[in-house]
Amino acid sequence: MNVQVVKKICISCPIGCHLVIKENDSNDLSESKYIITGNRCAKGVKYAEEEMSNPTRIVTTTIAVQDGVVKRLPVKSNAPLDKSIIFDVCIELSHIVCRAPIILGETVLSNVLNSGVDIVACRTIEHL
Amino acid sequence: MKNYDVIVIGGGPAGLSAAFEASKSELKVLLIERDKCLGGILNQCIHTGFGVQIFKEELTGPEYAERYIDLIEQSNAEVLLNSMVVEIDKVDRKITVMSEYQGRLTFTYTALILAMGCRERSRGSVIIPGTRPAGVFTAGAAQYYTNIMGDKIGENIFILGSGDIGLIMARRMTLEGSKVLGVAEIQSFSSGLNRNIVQCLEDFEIPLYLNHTVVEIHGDTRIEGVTISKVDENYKPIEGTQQYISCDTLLLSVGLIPENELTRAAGISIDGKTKGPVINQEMETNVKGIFACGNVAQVHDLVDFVTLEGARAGRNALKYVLRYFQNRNLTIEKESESRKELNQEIGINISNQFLMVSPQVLKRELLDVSQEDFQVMLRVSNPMEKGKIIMYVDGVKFKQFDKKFLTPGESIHLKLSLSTLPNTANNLMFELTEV
Repeated sequence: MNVQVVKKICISCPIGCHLVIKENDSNDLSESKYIITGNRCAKGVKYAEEEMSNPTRIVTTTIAVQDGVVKRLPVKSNAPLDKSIIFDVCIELSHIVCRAPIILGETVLSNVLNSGVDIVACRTIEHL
Repeated sequence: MKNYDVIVIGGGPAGLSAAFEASKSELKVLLIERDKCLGGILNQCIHTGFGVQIFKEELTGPEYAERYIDLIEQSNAEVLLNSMVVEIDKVDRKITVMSEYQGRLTFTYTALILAMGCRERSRGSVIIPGTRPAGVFTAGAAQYYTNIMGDKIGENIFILGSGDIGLIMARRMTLEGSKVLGVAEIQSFSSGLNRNIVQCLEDFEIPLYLNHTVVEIHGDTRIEGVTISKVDENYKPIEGTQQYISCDTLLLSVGLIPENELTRAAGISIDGKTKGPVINQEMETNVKGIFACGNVAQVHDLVDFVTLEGARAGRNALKYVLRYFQNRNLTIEKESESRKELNQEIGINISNQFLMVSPQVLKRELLDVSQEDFQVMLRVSNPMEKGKIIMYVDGVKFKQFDKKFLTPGESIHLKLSLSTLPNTANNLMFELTEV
């Protein structure tokens, strides 16, 4: 039987354990879906399971600003987004123009691509 | 000519923190920044990961900067923007400034804090043969064009050097719609953080070529491609391993150097290893009353450490000014004579398993009982899974620190106390052995 093996570096802390993640081919449903080795602590297991089932990342980018003292507004997602929609989020944000003044923490776009996550301003930008 | 008690040169994280700390007093503090806004390089570092040590949360660069800019705006420190310090006169305690709107200005200081940050190494410092077309950028310059100006710098990008800025830019360019073809690293390991290798390269399937470098740049007006080659352990290209990569942009992320032209011109001693001023545990240089902090003193891995160093410089500059005015009541000559007797300097040395140490000297005032603890920051030359650091005082083993997962990209911080050192101590030595 062909068992899938995936290698990942854990990013939970600076040590960066080299994880080896094997699919568990046991039929016993009480056992976990993956057999994880190479981790030095429990965070490695959690990270590996999340990476295998639903990897997420905080997205940061910039959007255009009108009438501001600077031309670009740095923004971030206020929660991690599914890795699979990161590019679409960036494309969506490339069409948006903000008008100064902007206050740090202000929501620039709510519920981006129906993800339930908001895009917020990371900088205060005064009117020109 | 205006007079200030404390002048801080540079409005990045080190200068902001130093100016804020010094302004917690009645002293007149001036913060000088050459850009049109405060925050320094943090403004263009739009990714997260700043503030984990200090705020226990992951902020973006601009968010982190704004917390300190707000503190400065509420403080009694004055800020001078669009102005660059061009000369330090350490004898008359005077600086010359060129200001965009006010022309040439002169200020006097009692204490001066250097917080000019660092600069990227450029193509010239890594010496890549080939033509000299457009499209070769340092990673930080590309970051400025992309994140501050909103310009697209190229479509097909190759990156030389796997330091954190190079890795961050690989992701950034990808998200901006460019294609990043690969990252070449001359060493057998990346000096960037593991998390950046995962989040910036592996997430986007960008290849990392370890033991590789760019040996030639091609193209006349705009870069058309690079030749990369595998290197041996002496970083010499191995014949027959060359491959051509077609690209319109090359980013260089090949290291940072503290920006010390002003410091050198002022005759302040520079440490050969950190490339920053020689400093003691109070962040004071070899010139009394001149302090240095942040990346001008040594290149740091985390901005949090820069902020803490800035605060230490600000605190000690403040102490210095208060003592200076106290002592002016006594005769100055007598003061300097008596200080000489009371002061003892302890040198700090390292074995060659370390790249650098900071501070390089310890100042000890034998009559001062309230001496605060200090930190020694070390950086290893090569990655090591498990090592022991042995500290010697005048050649005798004094203390041992066991450390795991040492890498040049992550500095080691050892907490020490002056009061535990023997009164006779002349020098400290740090050695590292693999376990």
